[in-house]
Amino acid sequence: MNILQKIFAPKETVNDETVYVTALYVNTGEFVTSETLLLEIETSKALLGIQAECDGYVELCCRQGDEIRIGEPLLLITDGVEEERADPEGDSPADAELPPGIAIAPLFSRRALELIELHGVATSRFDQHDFVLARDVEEILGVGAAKELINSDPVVIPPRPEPEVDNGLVDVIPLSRTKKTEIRYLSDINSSGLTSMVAISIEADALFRVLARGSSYFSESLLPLLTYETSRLLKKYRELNAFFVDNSIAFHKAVNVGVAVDMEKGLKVLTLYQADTTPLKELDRTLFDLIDRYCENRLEPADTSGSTFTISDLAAYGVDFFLPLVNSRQSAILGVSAMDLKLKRVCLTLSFDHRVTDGKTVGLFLAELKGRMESYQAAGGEEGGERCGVCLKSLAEDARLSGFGLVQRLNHRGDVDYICAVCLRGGA
Amino acid sequence: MVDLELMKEAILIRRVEESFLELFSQGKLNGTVHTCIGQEFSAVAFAGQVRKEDSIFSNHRCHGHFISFTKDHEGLIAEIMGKEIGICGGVGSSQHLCRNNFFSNGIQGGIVPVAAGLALAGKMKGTGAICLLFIGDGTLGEGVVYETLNIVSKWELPLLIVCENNRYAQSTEQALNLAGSIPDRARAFGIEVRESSTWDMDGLIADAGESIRRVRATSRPLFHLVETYRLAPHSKGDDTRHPDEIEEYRRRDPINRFKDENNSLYDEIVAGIDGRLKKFIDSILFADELSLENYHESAEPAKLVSWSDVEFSDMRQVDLLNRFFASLLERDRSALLLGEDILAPYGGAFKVMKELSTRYPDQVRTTPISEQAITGISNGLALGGMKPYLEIMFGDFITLCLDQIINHASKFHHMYNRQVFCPIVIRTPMGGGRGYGPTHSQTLDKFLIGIDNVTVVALNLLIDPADIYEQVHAEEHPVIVIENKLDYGRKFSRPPLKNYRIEKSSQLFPLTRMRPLRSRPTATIVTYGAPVTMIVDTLSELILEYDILPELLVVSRIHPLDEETLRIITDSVEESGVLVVVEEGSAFAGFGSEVIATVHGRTAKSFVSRRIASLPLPIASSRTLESEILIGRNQIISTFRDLQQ
Ligand SMILES: Cc1ncc(C[n+]2csc(CCOP(=O)(O)OP(=O)(O)O)c2C)c(N)n1
Repeated sequence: MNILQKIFAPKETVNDETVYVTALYVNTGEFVTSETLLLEIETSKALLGIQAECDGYVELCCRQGDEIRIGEPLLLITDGVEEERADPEGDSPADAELPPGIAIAPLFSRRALELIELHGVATSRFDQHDFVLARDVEEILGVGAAKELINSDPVVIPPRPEPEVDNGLVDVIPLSRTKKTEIRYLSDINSSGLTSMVAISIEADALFRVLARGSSYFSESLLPLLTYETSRLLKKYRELNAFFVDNSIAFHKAVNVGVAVDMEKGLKVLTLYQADTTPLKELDRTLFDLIDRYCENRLEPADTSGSTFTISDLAAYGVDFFLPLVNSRQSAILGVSAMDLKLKRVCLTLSFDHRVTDGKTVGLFLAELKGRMESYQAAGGEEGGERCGVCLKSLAEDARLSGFGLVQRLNHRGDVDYICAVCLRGGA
Repeated sequence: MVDLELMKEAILIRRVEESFLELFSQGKLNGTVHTCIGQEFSAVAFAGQVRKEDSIFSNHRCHGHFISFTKDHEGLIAEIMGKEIGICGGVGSSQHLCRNNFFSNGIQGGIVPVAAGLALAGKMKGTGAICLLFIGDGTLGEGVVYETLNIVSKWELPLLIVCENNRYAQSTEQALNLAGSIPDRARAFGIEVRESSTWDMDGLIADAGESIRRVRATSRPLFHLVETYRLAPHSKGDDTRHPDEIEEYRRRDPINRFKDENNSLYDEIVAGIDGRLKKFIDSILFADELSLENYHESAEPAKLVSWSDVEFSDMRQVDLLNRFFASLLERDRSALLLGEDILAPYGGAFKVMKELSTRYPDQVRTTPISEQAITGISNGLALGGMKPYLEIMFGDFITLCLDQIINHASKFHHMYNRQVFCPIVIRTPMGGGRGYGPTHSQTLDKFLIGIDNVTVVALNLLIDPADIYEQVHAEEHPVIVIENKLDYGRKFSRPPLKNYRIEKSSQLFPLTRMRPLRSRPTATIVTYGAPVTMIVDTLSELILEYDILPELLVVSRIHPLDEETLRIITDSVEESGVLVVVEEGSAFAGFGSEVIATVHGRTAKSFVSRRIASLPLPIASSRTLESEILIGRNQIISTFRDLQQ
């Protein structure tokens, strides 16, 4: 349930401490449309009608004739009727302590709601709560370990001055809630100013050819293989699967690799749980499933929470090189660029929190990763050989299909490669 | 010829005081004394003739009065020598004496309304006792004297005021400071004035006896002016008067004349007195002084605190107060309500006393606009076994009461070495928000907290005022109750905020807390008094909009802060890591500073702290300016928002 509009008892005059609810025109659970007259209140000055500003379901916080203090909620408009709650007289031990007549319905802070929305967490998970703050949602998202540490010694950063703008010169459009949440998430570590980056290139030409022949769902992406190898290395390089908190390093016990995707449905980080112990085939399949559900808006909260390390792949955009930003509660993120078609190389960048690890460690990690990745092309080498630069058909395959072999050509980049007869003729 | 016994008493007084001066020159006394050498017969005539059940109030020059009334010159000597066996354990010494019904204090004029209060207590109880009050002519410069003369005349109190006119105040001759005539001052209030002098001893003795008789018989005040002269310095070695003048009075001095006329008898009397004095002084020269443990009761050890739900009544606070006082007057005849404009039908500026004077006419007394005097009178009532509840119409006016609070109510118990209690209660509404302007809106609480032995409590809308006042009534020391002008009209109702538990502690003055039903709070807000309402109104916004889940702790006794309260606050801060203290006064050197400093001293954990308080400016009447000066929702929200970033 999300709150769409919250109506507070308004302060109309300085003298009023309270307002009276003189008439209620709607009931809890009722669906109202924007501009419906909801209720009427009386201040010391006047009668005031209050209208809905959006469509939604009503949840009343007052009764007719009530005297409500200024600033207290009168009514909420939500996007759905509340889910069924546990029996208030249920045998939950916490319930037993409650004074009679008090049944808990959790109240959500705005930040908690933003996180819930961002990560698609079901509100029913908080049924036993009195209040739900951001920390409660974060706990469910798997960052609970850091909470206690943070709480024992809160770090307070002085407020930043508001930037002054000349509205004559610029148009100011406020950020969306999602963007603001994203900023908060990313500022967590990157605003320390202590992040750095190391890059390495891997020979990838043969690697892609191997992939193309394999049974992967991702014949043109290094992602499954990179996830597979990275997650195994993270067991060894624990600092890269950790985060900085309160002058300490919190090491994640699990290796859950998040894969950042942004394909029309907004930036999401999909989680591959226990990636370090999952076979390659299964990783491949899980990632495919996740992306499938991402595209169809069917992601569960758990699908986008709890990652301990992130891989961001911008290969599809042909980028040569980029600097990814480390996510909250993590110490490193791996960026994957597109293959340089001339050099046949892919650049891997690893941004990291220098408070947790250092360039040398990251260098060693990347070198080891490179070795592991390149070992595949050696393995696939026997089957290698020349291929059609367009359809990637190998010479052996062409022979099996009784083709007439490959023709050498000068492609548009000025490289020399091969092309099969079918492609030469303009495709089958 | 004067009675020989009276002459002997006068000589005893003189020899005792002369021995004090000697002891001083030998370095055996601490502090100072003011002797009445030359004025002894005033003491003998008045203090010597009242009854044991009567009371005497005196000033810095009180040894003679004391000896004539109590006949306990040895207790006095021990006191002035600073010994534990002295009448006030050596705490009070020369100008702070107390024994039976004898009281003296070192604030010129301050004791005058206290004497009136004790006289009122006696009159209400119908004991037939009177009060005898000594003041010097210089003290006629104090305003409180006239506030009191007005009241004792109007209320017909049995107070005999003896003004010892020795024509000097410390170093200053009377003519320099005194306008008009002394007798006319008292007559202006309709008080009978009689005059005598210490040079006509027989006349003085007779006149004093007659004045005492009249006051007792009529139960009305009387002003007796006694011409006299002090032969010794004001205290020690500080005499600027012309030696010839002193010499002239020395010749006229009754004891000196007795000595000249009865030389051998005088020597015999003096030798007897001196021998006894020397023996006594030698015997106590090395006696113990009072120890700190015996002087000061250490704070009670902390008790285990339990919590119970607050039961709201949906009644307006002013009605709850009115109901409490009605029940109090009904059940306790010693309870007395005093204040300006408190009679029916007006019932006080804020109507707390509504109708009470109709139902309990003897126990509700309206007073002139004389804050200092009515506070002093309340002190006297409290010394006399009554339980006065004094209403000060606006909190700002409490400044006029401060001498009576600080130098009298606060000090009596300890300076008289715990022989007396002064359970006065002063109630006053503080706070702004009604546009009353600079002198009717301020929160002056910070000037009231930290006074020794004075408890300060503040009402708030999360506690039944009767819960507070029941304990106030049981207190044996002074209590100031801070009420609030805006809260009077508000209801004692459960705030509509969901999922919070509102509980009060089992402490004598309960602390109220609002705590989330289940979740761990992320901030601790400590406050007292009126800001409670505003904070409670802000809670849902703090939670919903700013992701802050505060625990609210509302202290009812703001001075002294007891062990339990500090423990509750510290525990909460250790849990939340954030301490925000909210008060309506200004921040500097206020309650908030005290709480934060004390909690810092009690925990090893680091925490973030902020004070939310009003601006240090006179409170403006204009609406916008007033609300900008006073604390408000915005300040609470912005403080938390800044903390969060
Ligand atoms: C309120 C106050 N102001 C000033 C003093 C300092 N002081 C002590 S005695 C004294 C002179 C009092 O003169 P008077 O009342 O004539 O008494 P006398 O000393 O002549 O007996 C003064 C100014 C004081 N004790 N209290």
